[in-house]
Amino acid sequence: MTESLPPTPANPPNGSGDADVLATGLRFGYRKNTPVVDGVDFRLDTGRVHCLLGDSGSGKTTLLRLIAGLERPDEGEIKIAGQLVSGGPKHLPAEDRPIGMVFQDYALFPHLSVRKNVAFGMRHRPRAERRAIADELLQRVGMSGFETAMPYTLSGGQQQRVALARALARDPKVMLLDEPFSGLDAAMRDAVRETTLKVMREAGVAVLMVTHDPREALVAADTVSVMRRGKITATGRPEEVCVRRQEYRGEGAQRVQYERIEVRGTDDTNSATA
Amino acid sequence: MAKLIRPWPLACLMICGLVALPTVTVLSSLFQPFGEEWNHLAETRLTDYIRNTAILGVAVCFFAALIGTAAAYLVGNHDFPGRGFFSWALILPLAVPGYIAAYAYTDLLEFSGPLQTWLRGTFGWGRRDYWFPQVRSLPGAVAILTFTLYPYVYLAARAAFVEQSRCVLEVGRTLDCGPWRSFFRIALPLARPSIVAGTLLVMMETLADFGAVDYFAVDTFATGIYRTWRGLESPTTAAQLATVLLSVVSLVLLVELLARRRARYHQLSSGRAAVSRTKLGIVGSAAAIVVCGLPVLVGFIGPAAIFIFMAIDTGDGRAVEVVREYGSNTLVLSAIAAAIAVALSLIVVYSQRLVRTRTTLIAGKFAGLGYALPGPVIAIGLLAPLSWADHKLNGLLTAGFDLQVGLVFTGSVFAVVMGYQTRFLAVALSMLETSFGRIKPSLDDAARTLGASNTGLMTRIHLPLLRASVFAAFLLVFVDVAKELPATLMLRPFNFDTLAVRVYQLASDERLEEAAFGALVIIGVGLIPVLVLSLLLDRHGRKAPAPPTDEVARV
Amino acid sequence: MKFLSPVRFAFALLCLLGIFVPASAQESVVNLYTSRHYDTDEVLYKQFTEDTGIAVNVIEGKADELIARLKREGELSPADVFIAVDAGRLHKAVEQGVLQPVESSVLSERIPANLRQPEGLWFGLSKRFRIILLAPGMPSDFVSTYEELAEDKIDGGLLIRSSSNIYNQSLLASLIEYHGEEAVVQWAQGVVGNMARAPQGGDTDQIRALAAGEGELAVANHYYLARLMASSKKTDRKVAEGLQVVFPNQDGRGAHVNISGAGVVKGAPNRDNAVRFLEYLTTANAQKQFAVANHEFPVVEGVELSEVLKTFGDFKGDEINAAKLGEGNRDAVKVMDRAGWR
Repeated sequence: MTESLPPTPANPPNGSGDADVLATGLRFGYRKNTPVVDGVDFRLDTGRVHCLLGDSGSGKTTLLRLIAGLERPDEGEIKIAGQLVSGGPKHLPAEDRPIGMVFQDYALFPHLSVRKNVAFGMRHRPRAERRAIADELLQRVGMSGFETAMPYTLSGGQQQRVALARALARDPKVMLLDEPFSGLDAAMRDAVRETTLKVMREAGVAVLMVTHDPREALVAADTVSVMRRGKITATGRPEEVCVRRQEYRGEGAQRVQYERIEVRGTDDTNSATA
Repeated sequence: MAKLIRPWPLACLMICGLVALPTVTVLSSLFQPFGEEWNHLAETRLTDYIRNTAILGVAVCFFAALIGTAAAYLVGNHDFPGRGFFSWALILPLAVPGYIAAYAYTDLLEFSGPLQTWLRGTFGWGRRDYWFPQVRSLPGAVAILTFTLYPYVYLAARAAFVEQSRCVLEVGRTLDCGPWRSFFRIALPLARPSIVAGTLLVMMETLADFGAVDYFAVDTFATGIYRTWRGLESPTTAAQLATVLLSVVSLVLLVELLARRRARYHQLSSGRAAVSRTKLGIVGSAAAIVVCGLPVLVGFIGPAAIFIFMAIDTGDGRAVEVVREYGSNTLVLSAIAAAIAVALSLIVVYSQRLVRTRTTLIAGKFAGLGYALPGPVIAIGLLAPLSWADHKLNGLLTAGFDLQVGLVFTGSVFAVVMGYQTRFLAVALSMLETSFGRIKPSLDDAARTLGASNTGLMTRIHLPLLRASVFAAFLLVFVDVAKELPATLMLRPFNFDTLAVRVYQLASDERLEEAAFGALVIIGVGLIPVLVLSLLLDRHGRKAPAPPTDEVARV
Repeated sequence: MKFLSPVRFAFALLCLLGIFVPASAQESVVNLYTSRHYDTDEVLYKQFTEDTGIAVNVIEGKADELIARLKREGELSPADVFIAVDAGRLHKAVEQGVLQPVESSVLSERIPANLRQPEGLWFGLSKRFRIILLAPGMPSDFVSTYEELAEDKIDGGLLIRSSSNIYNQSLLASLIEYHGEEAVVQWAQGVVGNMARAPQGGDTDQIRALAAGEGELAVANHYYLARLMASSKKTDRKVAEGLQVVFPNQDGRGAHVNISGAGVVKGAPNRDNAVRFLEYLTTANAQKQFAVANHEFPVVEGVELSEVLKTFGDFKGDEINAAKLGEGNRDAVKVMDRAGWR
């Protein structure tokens, strides 16, 4: 799966050269002298799913917000599709960047119906067209029939899919996903993840997904970067970065098999019961 | 710093600066020499001001906390006949301004009033044969302010008790605590932050009261500042006196801030189970009815009944005219001031959300200081800079265009509306702050990534979500303005008397009977938001999550 | 979606406020700053407008506030006429330099010399007497002078309002004028010792308390009593019944007189209208409305008194120039502060 190439992009990157997102020398801190992102160089290629792996507090979500334009970097620059969006005096605000974002808590607008949520980002289109596109997107994520539902009546998985459709409605070049599956229970997570990745590969966008779960990176990503204390400490294909180890614990009848995933570039390891 | 030089934060700082103008003027008086007037004041009156203000503040806070907490605990956690009625009736005294209650009770209880006359007539007593409490006195002022202000504590405490009730009961049961023990050991400590927050509001209202203490001739800082300003012809000394009050207020606000910070740790899990109440026996029910009934009787039914009786007895021939003229002035003024206050607070709170820097936060707090400033202080602080602006403006226009526009600022509703902003912006601010806080930041980010600009975010996401709070904030300011007296008195333009002003003037001209109808209208106007908000809170109460206590408290 | 931009918003606010900027002084108006607030005055203003076509704008407020306001507004002030209800405040306005002299033969003919400022800065329009009332059953010669109020025979029976009241301040100013400051401090201490209760309420409250038996004698302005006597309410008339009226110091200088009066504001934009308005207030008809309707004594000779005022009979008033009361005001306040008069 990791080796499979994406289908032909619907929107080929125009003039972007080789990368959809290119960040160099990024530095950012919420307070002075306490950098959260501390000198990050980073690239994201068209049509790829890239996972950003790291513990909470490692700066991965902040990196995502810098790319989205929700924060302004103290130093360094960011190019999206070849266009400079952050750097020097220039700072293109989030609303003017060709990105889509799905939030950890989905952030559906509670006062708007599902359809209006999806149509929110399409103010420039005529009303009928907005509606048609929204309905089509909802169908793509498997949420037909919920157009007039209000968000609080939906389950977590359903909300996640609506959030996805909403982010796609603006034809973004880059999709930014912030722990998009962490709020779902295990059984649901796989199904929703599959739908999500399928839809996004169809759309042919570059995907940057933040997660703290190496397992998720292994399953979903084309490439993985590991972040630690504001720096990227390792980048590569998932199987290069994350190594599965089978281990056993306990004695006799209590003996249980664990799967341990070691992540390069961190001191920490994650383990899970197999 | 660069963050601040953008339209929204800049607008926020400008608004806060303008609203804090009176505060700044008052503070700047400290840099002027302390003159002979100050010495005369310090020798003769100052100790009285300090003593009376301190006693008034402490006593009103103590009794209001006592009544508010007891009533809230009874209504929130117990069942007795009339509980449903008391649960909202206990809020009603908020509709009665302190000075209106003061007029009513003076009329009823003074030596020549109906009650004492009846006593003398019935028992044949003379002047020296019996003792009767003096209404127009410091204890009288304490009583009046306690019974009109305790609902602040009641509302805050009730929300806290209702929220914790199940947990309290369970703990009590497992530990086999008696009802008194579980109240003092569990319920009360848990609700303490809310009670403190409510009590601080009471304190600020008490310090800012002018009408009631003025009528009772109790010398507090509020009346003292006014007296100094107009009697001794020294605005500087008055302002210097006001700084003493201002520092006390700042201290109180600081305490509130700290208390609120602590309150965060006290907050219980969001899961709220249905309230289960303890049923009271006959004796318990009777006691509960007395405890809950007395505040309603004294704080609301009493004053309302006295004025109704007075209005019927005198038959105000000008009733229609009063409502048409003074009522419409009041309505227009309150609506304008409330709309502006809501708009300004929206800008301030929204800017604080956009640019989270200490500067904007402190600016907001500074703008809110005015809430505890008595009306006369605000008027004094506002008139000096505004009339300077008037003279400058006319000077410039005369020099440049040979044009005189007259008193644009001090001669129009501008001054009085601006005074209201200083006094009441905090009310709208705190209401909107809490509601804004409940909108998840991720919604903002989501809207952003979907192409919404700053203004788009406000109009498409925040305003629709805040509709109820915006309405509530409007109502609160509206009523506060309708009841406001001293600032209106000192700042209003030509031909622009409000109901409160008319009632005050008639009362000070010793023609209270003629003011009865106006007083009733003021109480009636005050009732509207109290009822609407109590409905709103009840609806909130049935749906999760509960409103945060200080929103309730600001009601 | 840009309609809410802060700049536009601020502009909209300004426009909104612009609506309420006062209309320019083009039309024919007279602007009053008055500390009187009687409904009968409003009727009078309406009549003035009907007779002359000059509209009357009013700001009511306490005199001190109005003076401060006049001073603050300076040459920009829209005010034409300043009306106060006592000489002390009129004098203060003179001291603060907010009034201008007026020469009008009509005014100087109709108003006695001791009731107007010598240079024509202000003119008295009605007279108010500070009288002593005795409870029913008291010997009618129990006191006959203000000086006696400090004597021991009263012993806790005196009802009088607080020192912050201007009528008391003016009374003390006249006493200081006659007896000197130190003597009056002693007098004030005596009065404080004789009080039936801590000073509270207004003059009406003193009268009611007297009728109810809280004291044996009270000090009040005459029209408060007159108001009760003429009230439509039976209970009010009953209060006034049986009280004995003492116009003090009849064997000496006469009862303390205060005035309600008016002056033309310095830099008044409508000076002619202002003078016309003052002259109007001295016509017999206006005197009746302005003074008599509130049971005050008119300053113009020959104006018919109200029925109640007629019952007071003939008496002598202090002819001290009302301006003196204003000059002594500050000393009066300090004397009462020193004597511990609340």
